Amino acid sequence: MKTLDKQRFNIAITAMGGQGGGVLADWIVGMAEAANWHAQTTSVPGVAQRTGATIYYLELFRPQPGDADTRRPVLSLSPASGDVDLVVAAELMEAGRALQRGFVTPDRTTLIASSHRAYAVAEKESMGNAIADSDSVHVTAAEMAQRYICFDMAALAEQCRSVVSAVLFGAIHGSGVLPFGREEFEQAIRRGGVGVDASLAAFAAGATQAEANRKPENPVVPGAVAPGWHYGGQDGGIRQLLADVERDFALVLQPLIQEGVRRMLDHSDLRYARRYVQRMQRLVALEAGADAGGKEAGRCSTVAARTLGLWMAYEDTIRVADIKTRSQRFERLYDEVGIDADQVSHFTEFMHPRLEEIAETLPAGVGRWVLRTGWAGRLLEVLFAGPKKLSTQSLCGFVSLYLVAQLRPLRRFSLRDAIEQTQIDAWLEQLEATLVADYDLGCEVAALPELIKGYSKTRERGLRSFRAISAAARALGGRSDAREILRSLKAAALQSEEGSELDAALQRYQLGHLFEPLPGKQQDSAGCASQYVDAAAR
Amino acid sequence: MAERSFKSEVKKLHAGEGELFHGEGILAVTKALLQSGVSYVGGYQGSPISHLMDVLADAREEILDDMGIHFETSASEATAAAMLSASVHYPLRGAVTWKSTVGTNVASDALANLASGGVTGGAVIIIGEDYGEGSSIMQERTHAFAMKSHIWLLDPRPNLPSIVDMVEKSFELSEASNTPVMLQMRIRACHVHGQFVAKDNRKAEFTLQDALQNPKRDLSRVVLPPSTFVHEREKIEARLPAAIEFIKAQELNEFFPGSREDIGIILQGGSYNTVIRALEHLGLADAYGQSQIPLYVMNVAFPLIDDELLRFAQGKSAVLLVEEGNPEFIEHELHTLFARAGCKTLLQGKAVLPRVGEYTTDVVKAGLRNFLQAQTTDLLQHETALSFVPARSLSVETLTDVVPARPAGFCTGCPERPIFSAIKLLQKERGDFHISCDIGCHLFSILPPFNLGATTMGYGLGSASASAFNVSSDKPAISIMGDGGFWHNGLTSGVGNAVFNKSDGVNLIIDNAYTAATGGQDILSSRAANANLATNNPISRAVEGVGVKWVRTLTRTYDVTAMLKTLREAVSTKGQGPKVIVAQSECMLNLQRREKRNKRADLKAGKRVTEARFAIDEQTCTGDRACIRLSGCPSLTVKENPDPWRSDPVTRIDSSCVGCGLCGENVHADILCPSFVRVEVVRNAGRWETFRRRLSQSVIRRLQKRAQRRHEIYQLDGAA
Repeated sequence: MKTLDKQRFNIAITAMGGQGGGVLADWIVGMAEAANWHAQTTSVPGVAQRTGATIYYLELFRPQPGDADTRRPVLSLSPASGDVDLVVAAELMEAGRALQRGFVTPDRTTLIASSHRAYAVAEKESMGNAIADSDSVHVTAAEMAQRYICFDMAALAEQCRSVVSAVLFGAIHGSGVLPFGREEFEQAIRRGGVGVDASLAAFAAGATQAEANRKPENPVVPGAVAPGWHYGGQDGGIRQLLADVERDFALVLQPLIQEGVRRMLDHSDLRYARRYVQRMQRLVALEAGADAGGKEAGRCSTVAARTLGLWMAYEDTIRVADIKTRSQRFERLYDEVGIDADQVSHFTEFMHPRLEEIAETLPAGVGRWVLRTGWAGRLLEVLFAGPKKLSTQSLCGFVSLYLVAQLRPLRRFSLRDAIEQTQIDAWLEQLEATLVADYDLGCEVAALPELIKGYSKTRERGLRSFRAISAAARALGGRSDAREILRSLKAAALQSEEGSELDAALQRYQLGHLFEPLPGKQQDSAGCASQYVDAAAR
Repeated sequence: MAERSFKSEVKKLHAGEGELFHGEGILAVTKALLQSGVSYVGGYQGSPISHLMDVLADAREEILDDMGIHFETSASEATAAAMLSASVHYPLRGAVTWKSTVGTNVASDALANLASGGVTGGAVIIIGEDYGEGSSIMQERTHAFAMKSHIWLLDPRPNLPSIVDMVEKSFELSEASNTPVMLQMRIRACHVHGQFVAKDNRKAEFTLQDALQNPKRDLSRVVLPPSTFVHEREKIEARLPAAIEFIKAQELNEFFPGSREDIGIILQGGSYNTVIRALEHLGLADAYGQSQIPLYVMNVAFPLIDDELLRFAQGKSAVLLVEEGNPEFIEHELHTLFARAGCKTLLQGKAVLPRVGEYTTDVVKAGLRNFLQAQTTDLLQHETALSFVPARSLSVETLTDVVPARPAGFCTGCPERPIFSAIKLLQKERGDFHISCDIGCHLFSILPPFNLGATTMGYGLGSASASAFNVSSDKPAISIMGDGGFWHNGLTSGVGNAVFNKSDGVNLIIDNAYTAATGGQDILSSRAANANLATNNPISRAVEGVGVKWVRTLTRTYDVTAMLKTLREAVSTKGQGPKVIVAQSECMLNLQRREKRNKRADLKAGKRVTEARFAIDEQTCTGDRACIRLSGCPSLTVKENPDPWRSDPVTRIDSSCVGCGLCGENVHADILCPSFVRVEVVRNAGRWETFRRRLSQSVIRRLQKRAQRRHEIYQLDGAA
């Protein structure tokens, strides 16, 4: 007594707010009813309308010749596993969810999914990288669906200035699952009456791409090492330095070091780039003598070339001002909001320099004195610190940032540079010592500066974790499981900003004393500052 | 103004005899009310019946006024239930609606009194049963209320003709038995799109004005001793038999014959389509609902019709009862019935079906298989796996760790978000507080990334649920309430209570000008002018009126710094009674709908229009995402780090940004990174503005070129 093959089409649509899932369902029902089919749609919105996903469920039933008017099919209000002909997912992880719920089965289901991602809060708020693995969805979909059609429909929709639902509707047509002609599809859009032209364009684009039945594009692998930097200029000093790099470093390391040199030049100057190369030379020489435990050599330098480079190119007020005033940055912003340079626009920069950031831009001695001296600090604070809104499209705003950017040659005398170089040297010293004693542990220490990110308070929190784990590495030296422990500490540090997980993890190994309380809770900024300098001086 | 307009749909409500009506379940209910000759309609919005209220509000001018039907948005479900008292003495038909079981909880005082005295005119309650997938409330059954107060409960088959028919019959049933009737609509039935053949709308013969001109009172209908004892007897001895008589005569419950007379299935009407689909999957029914197993469909879930049930069970060795939800009231009653009647038929219900959870096709299918395998010798005996369902591949299991949960959250640009950013900052300074939450959009603060709030006890009860913590502490309890909850009952149950009991707690009232969570309906404190409603009654005046001394109104919630300052002051002020902070900014969904329309018109008219949104400098963003942890805005998202040397994603602001300004405020309040930039684009700019722009641009470009020269010497952007 099973329903005749292809007499009924069961369709599940998963979409998030603003993607037009309801409109898509209406188009499909309208199309079926226009052809005198029985059609039913329902949904479960509720709170799902606020950023959650809504599932629309449709059943289309083709009447049989001779069916009396009174003989109506009983249509279901919710999808059952194994009983869905077409699953339409307006976002990739929602396709994953449909797979999990058993809506997609190999004997019957066509799965049409947009490959773009709308990230969930859990993916976005993580301190590390918590982005879900799209590949697992592609693999499962290819295995579970009778046909899997997946491409970036959001991008296509944007090109056509429409929403993803129109592209999906096109893809449904292109897939050939529903026995309706192109004219019937397009007529459904016209009947809707809103944004018809844009919808029709997006529909056509979706149909074409689905007919081609493209496989999902290969995503870019994050964290992959870029090729090295090829210098095209005539500066003799730079040429000499790059020649040194070619001479002194193994082939695998050269692209990394070249890229590091470029970053130092971009950040400061040739002198600074030399310093980077020297630091790396020292490390490589030391690593050559260390026992890599039979595994591939140069592992540690590969990591350190990156972490050292990122650390040395630290973001101070000069660096931020430099980036903010560059023409490429202006062009990128124009591009992002879809205007050109001639269009009247205003950029408002939101900054909140604290006394620390101001003082750190001063020559080291002066900066320290300012932080020590109450009245000077307060004066500077009143003049320069605090929440600032700055328009970089106005002359006044632009020029003031531009002037700060011009301080670059003086950066090496600044307090900030003194603080950073002291910390970097301390880290390198520890790295070198660890490397000789325990190569694997050394590799972990080389990666530790990854914890230092962000600005002001965020950076302080990162530094605190870094210092605690560095100290832990010192204390753990000699233990055979030191590397595993260090890894678990690093993972704990990425659990929360408050660091309670790291604190707990440290206590597990009787290292609780290494976790310093944060400066902050209700202390005045001068108090914060002095603690900050103390920490930096360590 | 409600989130969704039904202005065009309500035109369909004019449909007359014989016309085919297409539409949503909710719209069909409205049409059925008009066909039934109602005189008044009320209710309180909430999923899944929000749309019913919106349809009625939009239908007011189109049709209700002409038909002399009074419609109002009640202050609460209790108000709505009490409204039905108009049908106690007068032959007036009335209907009210709300979300159940939460709304029924609120209404139950009035309902109990109404049911005790009984009604003269048909009194019907359309219940939006919020159970199962998509539900936002605790999972309970309205059935319990029906049983305890003796209110008949209809649970029609979820197709529009059945629903419409049952609405009409429910008025007749109510009048025939002098008892209020509840008609239960499950979530999917509310939103189902289908069709039915319409009838003419009917105007009530006896009007509300007639009642006022000829007032009636009958002491025997008033719930006061000794009438109360009489009412109890009447319920059992008069009204119940009358109801049963009507239900049988009108054949409200349906018998569907089948060839297998040795067994049968008893089910609630609402489960009909699911049971048929399950039978079809098992090869025991066709697509048109023709089942091999006889069915008894209870469109009336309470009361049970004993002789119909016994007739159905007669001659069968076993029957399966498909009863969703727990406790299994019907099953208990059926066992009693069978035992009393000496019926030997085996009854199985929760023995083969799960005790909890929604009865989906998959669940019912498994239950049916268990039942048929045990109770027959020939059906599905060799069915080990359920047909249609293939073996699960291992790769599906791997998705468990991959697919992220998608908890509900605040919309892009929501004015409530900055309030919770401020509370998070307060907690960073002072440590965590005990926070008692309420129902409404603001409850999303309980979820990541805010993670604020410990309890939520009911609509408008945010402040009341902190009342135990009326002790001296340097960290007073903070309670949160929305404007919707405040007017629903929070003014008295929370704020008034705190004044009376000299509580020192902090009451944060979030005033976004609508009951935003239920779809943006107007309330007393709405700022918009509404021709039909009295709006613009400030919350601050109401709380001052009940005796609050310390009131602060913030008219721009996006000012995180001011919000934080006010919160600091509130938690450290002692001995002044409850501190009330009214945080005002309009719901962004409503605001945008209006603004977008206006801007489009201005742009066309050549007027100066500015559009603002935020962007991020990906070069200065280091990917620590502290900004996201403080905001959670949907437009504040991530992308892979453009710097191949960094592995953590960077923040990105997508084109859905409405430029609310919170990102900038958070940068200032929490001293975040300098990556945020607000980009304002001026369309149709004036001449002077354009000239100034050109002038500054020429200088800026020259300076940028000068800086660029350094890079050219280095050829930093050369072949990479």
